[in-house]
Amino acid sequence: MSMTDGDPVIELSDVHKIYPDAQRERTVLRGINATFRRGEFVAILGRSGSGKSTLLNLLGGIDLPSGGDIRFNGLSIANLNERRRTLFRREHVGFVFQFFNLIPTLTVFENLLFTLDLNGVDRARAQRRVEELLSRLGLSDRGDSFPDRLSGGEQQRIAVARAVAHRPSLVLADEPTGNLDRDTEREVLALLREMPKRDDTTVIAATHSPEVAGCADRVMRLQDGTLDGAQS
Amino acid sequence: MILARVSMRNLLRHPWQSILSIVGIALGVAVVIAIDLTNESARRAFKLSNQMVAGQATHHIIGGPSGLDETLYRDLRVEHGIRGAWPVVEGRLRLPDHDGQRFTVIGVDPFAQTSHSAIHRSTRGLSPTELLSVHNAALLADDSARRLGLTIPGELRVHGAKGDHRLRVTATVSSDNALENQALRAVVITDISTAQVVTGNVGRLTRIDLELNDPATVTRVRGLLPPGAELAGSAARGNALQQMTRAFEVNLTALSLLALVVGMFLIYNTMTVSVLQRHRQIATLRTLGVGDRELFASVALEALTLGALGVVAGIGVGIVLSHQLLGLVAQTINDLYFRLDVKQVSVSAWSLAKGIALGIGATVVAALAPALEASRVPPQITYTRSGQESAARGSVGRLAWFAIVPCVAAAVLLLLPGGSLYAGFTGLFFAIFGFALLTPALLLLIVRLAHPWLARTLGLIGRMAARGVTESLSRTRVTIAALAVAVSATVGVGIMISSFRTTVEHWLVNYLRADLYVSASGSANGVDPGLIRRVSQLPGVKSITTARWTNLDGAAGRTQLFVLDAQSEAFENFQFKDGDAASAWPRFKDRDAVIVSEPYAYHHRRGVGDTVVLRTDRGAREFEVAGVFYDYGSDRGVVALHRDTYDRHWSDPAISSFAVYLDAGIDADDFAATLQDGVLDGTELTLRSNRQLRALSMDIFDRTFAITNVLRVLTVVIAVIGIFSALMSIQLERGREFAVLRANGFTPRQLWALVTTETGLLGLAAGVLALPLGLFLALALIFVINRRSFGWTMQVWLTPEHFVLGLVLAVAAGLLAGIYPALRLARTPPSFALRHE
Amino acid sequence: MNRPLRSLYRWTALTAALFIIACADRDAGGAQPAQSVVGTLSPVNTDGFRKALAPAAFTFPRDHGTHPEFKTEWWYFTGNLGTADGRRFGYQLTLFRVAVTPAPPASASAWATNQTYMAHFAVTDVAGDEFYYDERFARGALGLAGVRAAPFRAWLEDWRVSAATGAAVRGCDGCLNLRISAGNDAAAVALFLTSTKPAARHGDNGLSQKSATPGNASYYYSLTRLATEGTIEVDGQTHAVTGQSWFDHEWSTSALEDAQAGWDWFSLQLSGQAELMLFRLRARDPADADFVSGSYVAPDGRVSRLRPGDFAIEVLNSWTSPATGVAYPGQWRIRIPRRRLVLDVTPLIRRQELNSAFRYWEGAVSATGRHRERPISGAGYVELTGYH
Repeated sequence: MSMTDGDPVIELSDVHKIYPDAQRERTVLRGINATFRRGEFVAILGRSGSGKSTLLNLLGGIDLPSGGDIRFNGLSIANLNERRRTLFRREHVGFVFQFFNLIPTLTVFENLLFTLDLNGVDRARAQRRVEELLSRLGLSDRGDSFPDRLSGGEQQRIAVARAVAHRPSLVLADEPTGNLDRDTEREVLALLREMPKRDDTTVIAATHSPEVAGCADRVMRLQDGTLDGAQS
Repeated sequence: MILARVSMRNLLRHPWQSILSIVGIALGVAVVIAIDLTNESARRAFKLSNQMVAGQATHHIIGGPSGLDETLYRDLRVEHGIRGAWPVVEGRLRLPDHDGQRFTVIGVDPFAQTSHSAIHRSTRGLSPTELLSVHNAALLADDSARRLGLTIPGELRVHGAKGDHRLRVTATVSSDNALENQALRAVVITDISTAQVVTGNVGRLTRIDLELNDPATVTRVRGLLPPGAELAGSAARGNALQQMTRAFEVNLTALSLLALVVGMFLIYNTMTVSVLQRHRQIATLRTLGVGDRELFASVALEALTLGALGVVAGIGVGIVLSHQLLGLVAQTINDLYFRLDVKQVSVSAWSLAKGIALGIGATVVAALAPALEASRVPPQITYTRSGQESAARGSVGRLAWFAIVPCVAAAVLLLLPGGSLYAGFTGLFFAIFGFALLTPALLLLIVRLAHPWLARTLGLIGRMAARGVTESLSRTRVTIAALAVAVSATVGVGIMISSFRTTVEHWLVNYLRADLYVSASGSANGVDPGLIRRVSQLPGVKSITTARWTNLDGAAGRTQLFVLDAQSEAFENFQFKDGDAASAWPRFKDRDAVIVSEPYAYHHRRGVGDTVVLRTDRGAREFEVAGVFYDYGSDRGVVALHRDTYDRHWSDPAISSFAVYLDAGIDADDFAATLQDGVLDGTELTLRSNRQLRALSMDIFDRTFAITNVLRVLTVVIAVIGIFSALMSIQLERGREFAVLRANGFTPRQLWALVTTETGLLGLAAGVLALPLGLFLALALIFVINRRSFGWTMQVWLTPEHFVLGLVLAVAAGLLAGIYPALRLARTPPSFALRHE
Repeated sequence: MNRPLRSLYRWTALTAALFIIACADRDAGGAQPAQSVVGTLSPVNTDGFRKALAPAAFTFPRDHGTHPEFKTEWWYFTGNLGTADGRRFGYQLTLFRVAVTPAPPASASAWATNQTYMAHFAVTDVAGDEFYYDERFARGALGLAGVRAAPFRAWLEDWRVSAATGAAVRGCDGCLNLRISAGNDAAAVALFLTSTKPAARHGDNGLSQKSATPGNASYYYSLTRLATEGTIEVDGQTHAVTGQSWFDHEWSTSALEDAQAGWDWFSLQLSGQAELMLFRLRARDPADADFVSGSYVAPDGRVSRLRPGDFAIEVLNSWTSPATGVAYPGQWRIRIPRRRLVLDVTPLIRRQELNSAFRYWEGAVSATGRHRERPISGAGYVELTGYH
């Protein structure tokens, strides 16, 4: 697959992130330029503390860059207010976390329903969608379980399904397999590759796992606050 | 919406916390509703009994202490054609055959109205003719007759003026209105002639009720009144009477609101802890695109759910509680203000609505901060608890600075002279609020001070406990504040009551100097002067002073008169706040001067040299105030005047009581026995020794504060529930931390020690904080609230027991709250807790 | 009034309303207060009271006053008046006295009494076709209500009849000059009455038999013609009026038999200065004979007793009260054959029913007819009781 295949979804130009620390400023990202295209799976490799999570937060509109611009389908998300960014996230972004972060007080079914509900999808359609996702995960019988009754792998599979349930343009995964054993990692990774594809969703995964990098369309390295692009 | 499900499941997930919050708010609401219902019931009973006797009357003509000349009524009707006029003779009777129960006799003129349309079929068996044609015919309410076990017609022996009278109960009346029945429950209705005779008021009327519908007639009637009579609007008069109990009611309401405030702390704490616990979950939600408004709403919804459940439970408990409190309130009203027969709580929708609104409102206010906090949680994926705690510690200073605002407001409201009672209470609540803001800073200070001591005595566990307290500040500060407030309230109110009590005791010792007191209880026409003469001739009697207690009712309210036939030495029993006995006496004795009690001076803003206006039998007249004396018998105040002055201006020879001073060496008890057997036997007079009267006064005092004590206890109960709930949730939240400790070799016993040391430390901190606040509250209650309510000056008597009790209470609450989590944690295998994080 | 005990007063007020009747009416269970004054005169509870057994020589002014040893007594003033321009009015002011017990109670209170009073006041406004009435009650104590013989004064609160200045009319037996003052918000009278004829003793020298039973009688006299002038106020307007009044004073202890239903009573002042008083005590059973009696007062004041058979009263039509549904006779023809007198008596207006504590019809009437073949006219009052 070539990087010219899809249209650009996210474009970063000269993005800086500086944290004002107690004594001195700490520059985490210094002048990042990158383009992410529709449907591609990008792995961002980097050591702990290299700024991977920061970069994901910026991409998801959770945090704001200290400088530079981030454009999502041509729209500058750095210029959106808090509320608009929340709505942007709700509609266009899905998240997969290292620690699954399912809502413990909701059942598996309800966890999947959640983002659909937030996006105002009507109940019947949303339920069909959740059933479809569950059956794809092979977890149809676990819909009524609460997350704490599930194994880590199952939880993360649900998390992946939650991230794509509302068919976002972008899925951001922060160490999605960091907490899983090797076999489970493979299972989850397969899902993460396969599920977004159907909707031409871009996946950006921050990781230090070679497994993840191995199945990415593109691998980028974050080092000393800059991003080195490399094609897989 | 699914978010709502998240909220609800959160509540279910922590059932203990939820239930305790509900209980807390329920008790708060219950206390508020109970007090309001009680006050409301008393007010309604008052209004009703007023209405029952006033009928459609718009006005009343009221006279002096001995009422009105009955010919005034005749003149109004016959000479002046005033039609809407009804004469009333009212008095108190005792039923000697029924445990001396007291009834009100109301004498009416059945001819005073032409309307015959009011023939009520429900008044079964009624033969109204008998009211006149049968000698001493009387009517009773159905209920009363049943209670007294009377068959109709039947005989009812009553004790009124000049001994016993036999009333012939010819019929009973009943109403299908429960409240009206209640108003009639201790009433006996007779013809006016019968009432005059049995109350000893032949020739006199208690009042004339009027229905005057145009201002011209009002003016005309006013012009027809003899001096000494006054025309008062019935609503205004009722209000004026009711005003007497207002301060009492306000005090009760304020105390009940305090219970609600403590309940509010509880909700606040529960929600705050819940938000803190869910920080990560909330961050996830934010990341998934849940907006700040939705988060705010969802936390508010959780709080409202708890609040609503609490309010619903509170209504039920409140109604039940009000039945328990009513007796206490009614007792106080009867002891201190006026006779009020109220046995039934009337559950008014308005009271319940107020309770609901306050409960929900308190919940919303309490949930505001945590809801805001939830909405401000950044959508960061990473999260640490220690970060939260350091943020909480950072805000400690800010909060402490912010405390200046309510503290200044409190100081202004409490110290500004001439402020109202409401301002006083508002100030008090501001002070409590300011104190709550200061709590975290003070708490840190206390723990820091306790740290070395704990480390020395308990070693590692002590150090860990101290650090545990500081670490959990964001979760504990409100609970500690709530506990401290509740404990300080109980300390403060305790100090106030015991100071008051001691003051009254000391006052009584000085005030009650005679050896024996004889009083005509009830409303009969007092003590026979011949009897007093006989007593004065008994050997051993040094001197006798007589007293007349009476009320001057007027449009502006009621003035209590204390008429004293005293020699100068008896006059010295008065302790003067303003003026002195030596200079006041000659004017008091011969110059028509009066002395007024401190509450009177306070309420009417009078001092020595001012004048008070009293309505004499010959019209309104000014009297010079020669002194202001301490008196704790009446919170509305008393005007005392000499018998000679009284006789010059009023024609009312009645004597209510007399005091006997004995020669030195005469044994008071022996003399009392002689007096009782020799002179008083067969009379209705009550003989009490100095000591008995003092004891009786103190009994009444203690009865007055019975309800205050109940409220105190309830407030502390709410606070203990609060601390229990908060500490328990904190400890349970630290399951993993403790599991690690256990895994690393901590014994269950050590864990137990750690947890109880921590909670005990928190309790202790609350207790220590409560002491200065308690002292402050006591001073505010004594010098501001009581003064503004009643006008009393009292000395502050500080005794250690209130402080010790407060401290013990707080520590006990803390330890108690630690026991359950400690037991549970100690019993949990560490692996289980580790796995389940 | 669906809320019982709305006020104590309203509630006790019924005592007064039922007072006069209740003694008699107790057996009826009290469910339905007696609707007629018959009860007052029923022979119940009369033990201990004096009865009218024999003729008694009336002495005036003493006998204008009360006779408290008898159970009931009334002072009845009625009159037909007119304005200068011919507007006609009738008025009635009656004071009833009823003793609840034969002896006054022993009590120190000035309110205690066995004497109770009720007053009825009515004005008939012919032109306005209005009938105003009102009733009041008071006990005969404390000066609230009472009757004093000399100087005459009969009052219930501020409704009063009192001797006018220069009252005693010399040489006229029982004559009175009076001032009447009564009224309410709707109607009021202020009248001066001057006797023009001496007291007329009815029946056997004042003993007016009400049935064949001895003692079932009253003492009864009338001042049959009192020249009257003064003012009547109705509808906020005051009218100067003149005319003639009639005064009845009657006292008794028991006057109606169980078999008697009620009475029709007539007082007529005729154009030739003669007056006629007739009454008929109606038998309950139509088969029984009514008890009738009457007096003819000649222009010179001489009284002729009219006995049964001396006169006949024929009811010409009837009228049903829309307010109460009670049917009353509406017009009468009176025949006194021996005096060759025929009179048709017609109410000035139909609606003169007093729907008061006890209900009756008492109204101003006019009379036309022939006396000794010559036309004659008259005015007067008719009272109808015991109709249901």
